[in-house]
Amino acid sequence: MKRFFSVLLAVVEKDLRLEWRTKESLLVMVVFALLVLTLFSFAFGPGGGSGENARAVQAGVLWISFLFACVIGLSRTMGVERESSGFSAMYASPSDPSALYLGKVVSVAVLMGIMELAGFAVLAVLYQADVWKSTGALALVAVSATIGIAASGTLFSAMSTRTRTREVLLPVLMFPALVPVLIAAVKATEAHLGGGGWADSRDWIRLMLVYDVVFLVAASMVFEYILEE
Amino acid sequence: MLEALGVSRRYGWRWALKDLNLAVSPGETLALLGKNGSGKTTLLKTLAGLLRPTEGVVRVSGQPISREAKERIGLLSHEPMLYAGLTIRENLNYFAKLFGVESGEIPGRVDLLAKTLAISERLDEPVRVLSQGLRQRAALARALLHEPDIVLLDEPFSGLDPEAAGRLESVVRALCERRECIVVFTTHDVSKAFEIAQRIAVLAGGRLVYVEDIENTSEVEVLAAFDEFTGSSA
Repeated sequence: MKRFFSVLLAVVEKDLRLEWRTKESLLVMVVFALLVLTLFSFAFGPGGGSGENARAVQAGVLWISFLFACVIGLSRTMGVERESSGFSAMYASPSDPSALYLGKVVSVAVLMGIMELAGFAVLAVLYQADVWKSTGALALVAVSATIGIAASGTLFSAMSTRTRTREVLLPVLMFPALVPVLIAAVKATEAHLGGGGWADSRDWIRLMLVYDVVFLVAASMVFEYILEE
Repeated sequence: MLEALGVSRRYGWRWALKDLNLAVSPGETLALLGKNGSGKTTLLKTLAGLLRPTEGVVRVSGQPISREAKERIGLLSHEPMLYAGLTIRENLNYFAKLFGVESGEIPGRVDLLAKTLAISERLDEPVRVLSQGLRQRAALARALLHEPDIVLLDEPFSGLDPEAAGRLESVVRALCERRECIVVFTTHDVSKAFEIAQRIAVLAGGRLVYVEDIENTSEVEVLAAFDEFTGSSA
């Protein structure tokens, strides 16, 4: 178990160190997410419309922008592995592939978390969304959704990174698989932006947590075959 | 003992290796000769467990290659397998953890290998600023960091100036002299193969067409075999 966590932490440390040096993925992710949010605010008008519909628009735009930004970030992160033959090096090592996979998931989730902080701040400013009233609940929604997106994103980007059509293949594989997370994240976010309580979002959060567990376990089991050349 | 038993490997419709049988004993050094596309790299990657054979099996000490066996294998491939944005030291620290080297042992091993390969002064420079020769030495340090007893080197001397090649050669020689250490390296240079190896094998079209102990053959004989089976000179 000690070895498992040592490998997991080594992958996280390496990824974040590389990202800190280049800031390639994070910068692109944040800028892209903010751009999408800004463009939609122009399209829907201040606040994303009015009344009940406004909160649905705000939640939908927020998570769609996160999802698109994540695809771009993942492509760049996995590009580093492709250029360095990082996956081959991982596969040549005796490390547990699930530790390698979970390490990559944590790295992606950390980058997404930073992007989401910026995204929620922009939502509060441009859409006048009340994100402060239920910060804890929104954080829980964001964590649950982020784990799901990072888990599937890491798996599918690792699958597609060695193909010639990787830029197209990644969203084609990833988006359909993420439909449950997207729906749950939007519904739960909408509920909390509207001042709703736990009862309004509990089932959606549960759905995301189940998805996270199922995906993390399944992907950990198949990651070894994806690393293989 | 490192064995390839009836190993074949196919890429799409093309067979890169076909029904290949090879056994290398502990303490033995084998040079693999062959022209480009003959299957040398595929064979090394298959022996390292990086590629799964389409047919046949690779065995380490009688057991099919597994995650545990990979702890005993060090591979230097064409790709340096180093992160350009990290320094040599950061790369080595990362790979040491992947190969299960105890944290306390890592700094000592890194310093020792860096000294042996004359990269001590460049340890804290990013890989992206290094020359081809230095990258090759850093990649060799990565391959040897976990002290493997099976060392697989894919054209370790190619693209190096004579000084760097000489330094690398002395490291490979030292490895070969280590008891119980298996060294398999690929090269186009028959003279180099004779200088370092104890046995020579020629690959052509994914098949082993000539295998002989150095003592029982000569450069002329190997070159003749090379010409006969590959249709060109090494």
